[in-house]
Amino acid sequence: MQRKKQKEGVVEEGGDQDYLTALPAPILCNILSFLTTREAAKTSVLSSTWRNIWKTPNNLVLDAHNFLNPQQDAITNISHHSSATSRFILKCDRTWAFLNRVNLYLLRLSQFDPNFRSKIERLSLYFTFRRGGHGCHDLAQWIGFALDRKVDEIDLCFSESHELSAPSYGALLLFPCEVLLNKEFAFVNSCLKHVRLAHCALAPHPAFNPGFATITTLDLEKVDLVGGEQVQVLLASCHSLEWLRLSECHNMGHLKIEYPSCQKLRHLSVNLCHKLKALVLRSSSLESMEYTGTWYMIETMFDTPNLKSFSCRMVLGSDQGGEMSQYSRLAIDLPQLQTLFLECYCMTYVPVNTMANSIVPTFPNLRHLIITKEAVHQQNFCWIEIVLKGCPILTRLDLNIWTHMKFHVEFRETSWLQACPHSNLKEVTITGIRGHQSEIEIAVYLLQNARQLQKMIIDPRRRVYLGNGKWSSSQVCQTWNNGGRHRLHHLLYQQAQHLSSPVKFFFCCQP
Amino acid sequence: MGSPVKKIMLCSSEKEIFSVEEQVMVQHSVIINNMIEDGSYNHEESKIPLDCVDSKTLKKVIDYCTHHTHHHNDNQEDLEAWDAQFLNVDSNGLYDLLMAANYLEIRNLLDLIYGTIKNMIKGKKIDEIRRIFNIKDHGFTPEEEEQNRKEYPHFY
Repeated sequence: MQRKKQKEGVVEEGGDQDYLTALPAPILCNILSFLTTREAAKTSVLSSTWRNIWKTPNNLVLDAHNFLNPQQDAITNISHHSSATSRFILKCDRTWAFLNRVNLYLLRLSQFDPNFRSKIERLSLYFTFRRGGHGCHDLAQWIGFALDRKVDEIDLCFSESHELSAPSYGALLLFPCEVLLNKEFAFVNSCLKHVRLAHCALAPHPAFNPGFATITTLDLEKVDLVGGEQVQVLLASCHSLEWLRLSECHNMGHLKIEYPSCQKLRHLSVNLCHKLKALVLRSSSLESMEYTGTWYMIETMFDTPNLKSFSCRMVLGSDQGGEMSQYSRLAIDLPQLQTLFLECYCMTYVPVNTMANSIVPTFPNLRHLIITKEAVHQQNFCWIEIVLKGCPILTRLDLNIWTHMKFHVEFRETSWLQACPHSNLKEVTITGIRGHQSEIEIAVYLLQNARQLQKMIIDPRRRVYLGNGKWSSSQVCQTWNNGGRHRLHHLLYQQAQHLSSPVKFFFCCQP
Repeated sequence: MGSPVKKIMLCSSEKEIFSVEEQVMVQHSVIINNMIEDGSYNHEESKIPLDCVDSKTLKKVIDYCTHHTHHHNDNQEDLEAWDAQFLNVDSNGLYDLLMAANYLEIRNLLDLIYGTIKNMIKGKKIDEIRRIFNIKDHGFTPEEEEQNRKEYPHFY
């Protein structure tokens, strides 16, 4: 649920009746779910109608901000203390205070509603817990409390900001998997669908994990999958899983998704799992995938006929034959792709003549290609020719470029690229353009070759992928306003006069 | 896009009829979306009776949905400014809007209103909140009220 920022005090006071207090209790509960636990508890003395509303919250948010007073909440206060002993004592006090207050709060809630009649939608926890440290028992009870109240979603992060240094791998809290099946057959009625865990170790039972059976979304971040094999055990228990993300799970060496586990998995993300050596995917349900990391070091095996969308952000070494060899590899592995997003770091220059003789990698089904490319001095777009040749039905091309240095060279027509007419490309978007010669070259080249082009969008803001389908845009840079825009504008309209079909240009961020 | 824009009829508690683009309401209201999907709305004959929503409120709700359908690509700041202006109503108006949004299940409007009410409570003392919400009769006995004030002096 997105919470929008509100300007305070927009509502005029007035009216002659106390309507808001007359609202039905479920609505009052929803209103309170927007407040911190502290603020919600305050409403108990507002009027007799509100007295007990806070005791049936929709969401449980257990963090320092909600349960500690501001002095204890501020972690910085602790790190300012010089002696290790006093820091240790303060941390212990802080943890004790947190545990006590959460326990007291949950006790109040359960006294008010002893028969679990009210439902909790979401449990989120953000507090540092370590293996063998204080509170592991309390934690299991809190999760049990939420499960008893048919919680849909749990989001547990066991490390606060980096100022309290994140526990090293050996000290990561072992997630109490058994709590998911603590009560006899409680899992039969479990509503748990979405689980996010961060900064903990996960060691599910080797044979029997019915607690995971209802989960559809699983998001693991900085989770130690003990011994590396745990991920297979875990996945074998997740019968309903549709969405899986593994981020920085360093202990995972192999990831296999194949019959009979994860029969419903539609989306997979693997981000920065540095120890991953092999990725084996045999799944007919998988539709989209995201990957971030050193792609060239991983052995891959794909048998995924319905995987149509792939986002790959790869880090390349200097000796891996550059981006083109990875692009070729993807074409061999996943010719069925319809949407491909490719982002490469550390790209090496591939001389034109070596490419002319090699086989053109082909994506016969690709409709939408998104490429993010950074360069230091100038953009090198000699691969664009290969893209146009190898993707016959491509209709949309998005280039997110960024050139770090200012580098002014007079524009000249590209002589080193062969003409490569393309009859399906209809829409081209170029973002992050600063008005460099090499950037203009690519725009002009596309204009000359895409015979059916209808629309060209030029946006000077740099576009950065944040993961999970989200993008951010940066500010317009000065080079663009100091003549870059004017130069590109002029050259594109000049080119457009020679075209047979009209192209619409859209310039974003006009001054 | 040859066919004309599909419209649906909404009927307020005063039996006033409002004609709205179907797409606008389907996109925002879960209830209307369900009605269209399961075929319980007949485009030729039926109108959707909203007996607990008066004309003034219904008009505002329709304004909200229409604006957010046609301007969803606007930048966030403009939309927020529009929303702030939209919710510049007294607490009765807010109550009516909240009930209507709740009835029609318009999620983003609900969130917007909840956010506004949150800001009326957040960081304020109890006496101030009572004044804003016009709570004249808090329903506590004098003894309870005194007890509360003694126990939680920082709230008042």
